[in-house]
Formats: sequence, C-alpha cells, structure tokens
Amino acid sequence: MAKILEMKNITKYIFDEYGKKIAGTTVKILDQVSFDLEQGEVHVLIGENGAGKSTLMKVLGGNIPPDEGNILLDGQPYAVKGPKEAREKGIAFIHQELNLCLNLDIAHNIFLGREPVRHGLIDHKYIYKKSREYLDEFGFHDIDPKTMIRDLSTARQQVVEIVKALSYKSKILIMDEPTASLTSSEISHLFELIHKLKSNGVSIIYISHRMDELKEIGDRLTVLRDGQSIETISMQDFDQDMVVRLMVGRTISNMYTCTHQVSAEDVIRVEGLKIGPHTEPIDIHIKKGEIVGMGGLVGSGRSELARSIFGVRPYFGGKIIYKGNEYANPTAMKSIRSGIAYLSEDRKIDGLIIEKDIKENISMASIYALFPNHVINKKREREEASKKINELNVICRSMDQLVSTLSGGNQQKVLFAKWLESKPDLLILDEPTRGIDVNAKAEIYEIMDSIARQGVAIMMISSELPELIGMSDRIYVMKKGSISLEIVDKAQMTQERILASTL
Amino acid sequence: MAAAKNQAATQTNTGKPGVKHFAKSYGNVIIFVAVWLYGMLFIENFIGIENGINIITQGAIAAICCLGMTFVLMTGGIDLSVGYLVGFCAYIFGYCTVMRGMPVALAIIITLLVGAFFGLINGLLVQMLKIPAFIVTLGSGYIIYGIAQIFSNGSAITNLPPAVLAVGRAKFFGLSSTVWIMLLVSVVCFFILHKSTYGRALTSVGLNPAASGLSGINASFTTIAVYVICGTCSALGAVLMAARVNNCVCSMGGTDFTFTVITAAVLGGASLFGGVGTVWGSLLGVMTIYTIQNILGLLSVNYYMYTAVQSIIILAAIIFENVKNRVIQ
Repeated sequence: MAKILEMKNITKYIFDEYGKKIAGTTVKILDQVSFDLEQGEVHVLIGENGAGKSTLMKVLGGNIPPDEGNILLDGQPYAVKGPKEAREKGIAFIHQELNLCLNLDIAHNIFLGREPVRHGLIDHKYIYKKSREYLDEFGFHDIDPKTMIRDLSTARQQVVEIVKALSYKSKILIMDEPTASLTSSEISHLFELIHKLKSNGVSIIYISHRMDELKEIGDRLTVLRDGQSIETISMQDFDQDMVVRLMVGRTISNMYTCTHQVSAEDVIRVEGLKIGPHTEPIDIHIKKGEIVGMGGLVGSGRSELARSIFGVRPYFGGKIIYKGNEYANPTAMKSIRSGIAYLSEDRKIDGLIIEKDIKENISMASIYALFPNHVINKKREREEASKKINELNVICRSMDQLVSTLSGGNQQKVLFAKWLESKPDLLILDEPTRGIDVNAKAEIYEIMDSIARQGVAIMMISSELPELIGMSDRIYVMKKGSISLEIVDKAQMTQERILASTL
Repeated sequence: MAAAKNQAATQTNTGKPGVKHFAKSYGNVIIFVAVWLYGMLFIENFIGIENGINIITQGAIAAICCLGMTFVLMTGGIDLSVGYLVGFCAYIFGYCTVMRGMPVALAIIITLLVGAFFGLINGLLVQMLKIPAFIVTLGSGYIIYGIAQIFSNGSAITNLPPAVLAVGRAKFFGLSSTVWIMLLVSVVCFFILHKSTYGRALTSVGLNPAASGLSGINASFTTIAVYVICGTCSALGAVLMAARVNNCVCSMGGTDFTFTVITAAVLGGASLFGGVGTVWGSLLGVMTIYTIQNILGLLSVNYYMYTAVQSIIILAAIIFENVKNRVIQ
C-alpha cells in the first residue's frame, strides 16, 4: 500500500503559548519521533499521559511547527502555517470535545466558515442539498440536516463532525479518544463507519487507551513513551501485556525516600462515596503517617474524589469519617480548620496567587488561624514564612519576591509551605511533582516523607507510575469514577499491574 | 506546558527593580507631580495655600466615594450606581431631617442604611447570579434614579437644620469638617484594606478567586461586602454633599460623579481587572483629578472639555495597564 503520510525524526522542544521554542531550553517533548500512515489504514497511537501523543498530533494539524524533522504528505513536503491550511491539505482532527455550534443545525455546521454565497446572500438551499448528499453518501439517510446540533446525541454529533471533515475531502482523520463518551451500540456503529471510510481510502490515526477495542479496529499500532516512538507493530502481533510493557519501559530510580512509619489508626475513612450520580461507590481509608497513592488515567475521578472530600465539589451519597467522627457537609473553610489540606493539581490556576509575594502565599490558607482577631501581624507573618522557607529550602532572594519570578520547583515548594502552614492531619496532593525538574522532585519526595514521619496522612494523586510506586505505602487505582484495584503489598506494585487496571 | 510557562516567567522576571518597576509602582505619583508642576509653571493663581486647600476640599467627598469604589475594583468588579445613589441618599437625608423632623443622628444612620441596602442588592446580584458587575450596577443605578425621581417628585429640599449646616461649614485648623471626615474614613479604610484579614482576602479574591476558594476564603461574603462598603461610602458622601450646599436633590451626583470616582481610582493605581489598589493611591488619584479640574477652571475652559479630558485619562490608564500586563507576561 502507498504511504500517504510520513513523519520522520520529529523533535519538538518545550514551547510557549505561540508554539515557539523557549530560548535556551533543552527539554524535549518529542524526541526524534517517526510515524507513518498508509492509505486506508487505521493506525493506533498509544502512550501514557504526557508521552507526546497530542503534541505530535498538534504538529501534524498545523497548530505548532516542529523544531526538527520533516513530514511528507503523499510524497510531497508538508509544512503548514495553521490548522486551516492543514484542513485544506486533507487533514482533519476529530477532537474528544466536539467543536460544533450547538445553536446551528447540522447543515450549517458542515458549511461553517465557508458558506456558499449567491447574489451576495448565503445560499441556504445549496447548503441543505449538499449536506443531504454528504449524509447519504455515508448511509445516514435517517439524519435530517435541519436538525439542531443540541438535539443530537453525542454519538450523532460525532457523526456530524466526521461528515463535516469528509466534506473537506479529508484524506487523513485524526480521532482522539472517539469512543470515550459512547455506549457500546454506538461504538459498533462508529466502527462500521470507520470500516466504510477505510474502504473509501481514508486513513485514520486513532488515539485510544481502550485495549479491548484496538484489536478490533486497528491495523497497526505505534507506542509513544517520554516523547519517543518506541515501536510500531502490526495488529496481528497485538498482545496487551507487551503493549503495556512498551508503554511503561522505565526503571524506577532510587530518588524516593522512605523513613516514615505507618500507624494503625485511620485518619480518614470514605465509605460508599459516589463522586457522580451514576458512578460506583468508593471505599478508601488512609492511616496516620501513611502515603496512599491514587493511580489512574486523567479523568478517572481522582481529582473529583479529592475535591469532594475537601468540600469544593458535591458528592452523591456515601459518607466521610474523619478522625473517628462523621464529617458531613464539608467546605474548604471547614476542612482547613479541621486539618485537611488540598494541594491542587495546577499551582498557577488554583494553587498559588503568582502575582503576590512568597510570604502572603504561605499565610494564605491560614490567615484566620494565624490572626484570630482579624488584624494582620506582619511580624508574625514574616516569622512563619521564614520558618517554612528554611524548612522546605525554597530558593529565593527574599520572601517579598513575587511567586511568578520563581522556578516551577520553588513555586511547588511554596505551595507545600502554604499547606503545611495550615498544620494538616490529612494532606491531599494532586500531582505534586508536575512540571518540575528531577532535583526538585527528589526534594519534594523528601518533604513528603518527613511530613508522613510527623504522622500526617497523605493521599497522593499521581499519573507518574514510578513516583506512585516509589512513594506509596499502599495504592488505589481508579477507573471510570470508582476504585478498580487496591495494592497493599509493596512487592506487588508493578507498573504493568497498575497500568493494566487503569485501562 | 506548565513547565514551559514557568521557565518563560523565570527568564523574563529576574531583573532587579529598576525604572520600569518604579514607573509601575509609582505611576500615580508621577502623574500627580506632573499635573502640579504644569499648574505651578503655566497657570496664574495656581500656587498658593488657599487654592491647594480649595482642591482638597472640593475633592473630599469624591475621595470618600472613591475609597468605596476602590474596594469594589479590588474584587475585579465595578459600581456604576454610585452617582445615582449619592443623589438618592442626599434626598433621603433631606427628607428625614426637614420633612420628617428627625434628629440629625438618626437621619444620618437611616441614610447610611439606605446606601448599604442598595450596595447589598448590587452585591447579591453580582455574586449570587454571577451577572457582570457593570451590567448589574448600570441597571440598579437607573432604578435608584427612577425611585428617587418618583419619591422626590423631582423637587429639591433646602433649609437643612442649622446644626447640619454648622457642621458642614465648620473648620478645624484651617480645614473644613468634610476634609477631616474624609481623613477619618481614609484611616478606617486603610486599616480594613491593608491591615485586616478581610483586606487580605479581598486582594486574594481579586487576583485569583479559584485559589482563594480552595484556601478557605469566603469569596461570596468578601464580594458582597465590598458593594455594601461602597454603598455606605456613597451615602456618607451624600450627607456631606447635602450639608455643604444646603440642598438635597436627587440629580446630585449622577453619571459624571460616578465617572469622576472611577477615573480617580484608576488614576490612583487601582486595577480594573482586580486585585490591585491602595488607599493612598486612590486619595492621590482624586486629588489629581480635582487639580486637573481646578486648572481647567482657572483656564476658564468649557465644561464639556473637562468631560473629554477625563475620558481620555481613563482610556489612557486602561491602555497603559493592558500594555503593562502584556509586558509582564
């Protein structure tokens, strides 16, 4: 078969919001990635969160330019300035979140941004006629192009998105987790459509984590890991264990410290908690001085569980027992007062106030505890900040420095300082080492260990398997809003085992 | 991505405080000094203690309202109803004292409560229904104006009790009572904004509501309270205004006054995007505005020219802040 697309040795360094390489950096998101696509095949792209799948697809879709490497489309060099040009060249992206205008009908969505004009006015008749043809072409005789998008099911909206992409004469469709929000009968309809597309010569890049469906739909599979293309295999050789092994690959280094002791006493017990109206109930418990890891994919409900416990998100039944008493109707204020701290996932969005200085960030979650008569005592505030800065080894010129001027690792330490200042008994960490360098990570692990040594119960949400295994005394794995696995024995904690129960 | 952004931030922001930093922190001082220098060099009769006190006295009432506005701006909101509320509260004050013959103290309390009440309504609408502040307060401003017109039948109340007029005209150490009250209000506001946990919470909510919520700060209470503070300040301003001119009519204040107050706060360094603002800055902003007004007055410039100048100032301030934010990012 003819190769329709060849991506050779694509390298992309970390980039700013305009997609430009950040000056002086050596950190690569994509490292010499090669990927090719034959006409009429479904090529599966698989890898952990952060392995580089979406960056690679952004390069292909024209959202960001590659720093090195070259791309051939139909044997011709391919370099586009933006998504629009990529679409004109026949590459269409079907996003997980569909990009349709809910208040327009199907036909007008298909022709959005390129409405045919007759006598200076939009030619609605032509739009409906042509849309009818497109829908018929793929066997959707029952769909009326005059239906509003908001009245369609997710599956049908996806169909519209695909039909829209094909109306651009797309040769390549990129589908990002297309089955994520579909029911099983809708999935089989989607697969029928994909088979039809294949026989029409359309090639599909299929990004998914659902192992069970890959074998059914895929022709070949490429594994990405840490920004590198690890291996491409034919689907005839597909073996779930092998693919998981390829995805994981890394060995666990000895950057993890473990000097703390787990005591017998439970700090928190969650009994039958439902984080969504239709999810399975969750039972977990965390002991004094214990680090409990929470594994799972992004969107598996880990942050939701944490936020429900902390009181910034509702839950749908079940109860929380904290320090032996039922802990009902939590709010952030109440949680902080009772000794629960939640270190959120993104320090810049809801963790720190980066436009403020270090000392005000450190005292932020404890102002009412530090200053019970509501008058800020600057001296006291400075003393507390100074203590925490020394304790956590925050590298800064002074505590009056704005947090925005600190490196990621030091910002993360300030975030830890802020929550340790609130003197927690239960510390919930959401991706505690995201986006920081290796040395800072090792320091954070040391901090976590010393906190646990003081008898604090720690719940650590992490998408990095080595970290999860290296730091946790016990691991829960979440999948689709409920617990799919608990690993008590440290020897049983393998990346393969955890990954297999997240998928 | 987060890592990438962090690195960018570290690389652009490691410079030591320099000229740019000074201009950013003390831009309001620079403008104030520039206006005064211009006045002293080019305008006849500008120099002199009398004219200086004149400017301060004229600006005192606006300064009180401007401090209230500063609280609102700190949360990223705005209160466009201030001017109409001043008119309505002035009439209420006149009504209570003259038409009902209430004791002055009681009349003042009622007036302040009316101001606080409308502030509360604004705050509730903004925070609970999540309607943008400028829409809520634009609407409520006109509603207040309408109520005031119906209530007063468009008429004015004069001949306030002698005690009120005496206080309004009294002077201590060469400064009128209005100025002293303004200074007192400033001290209270300074304490609340810069020394209390409430002020700290306010800055946090203005800069990052999400992080504040996770830190146990009650964003709803904080936000609603600023509108109550702003309404109360407006009511106090209304009482002083009525006492000074011995006239209570609901056309006092109005859009022009609101605009002056907002311009002054912005000129004083308060950010229309929230989180940034100081008491001394806002006071300086008011004085800058009234100095400009004074200069234009001495030059006998057309009143509408003054409105235009004020509009240019506020637009320039917003453009400056936008550019500044972009440079920082």
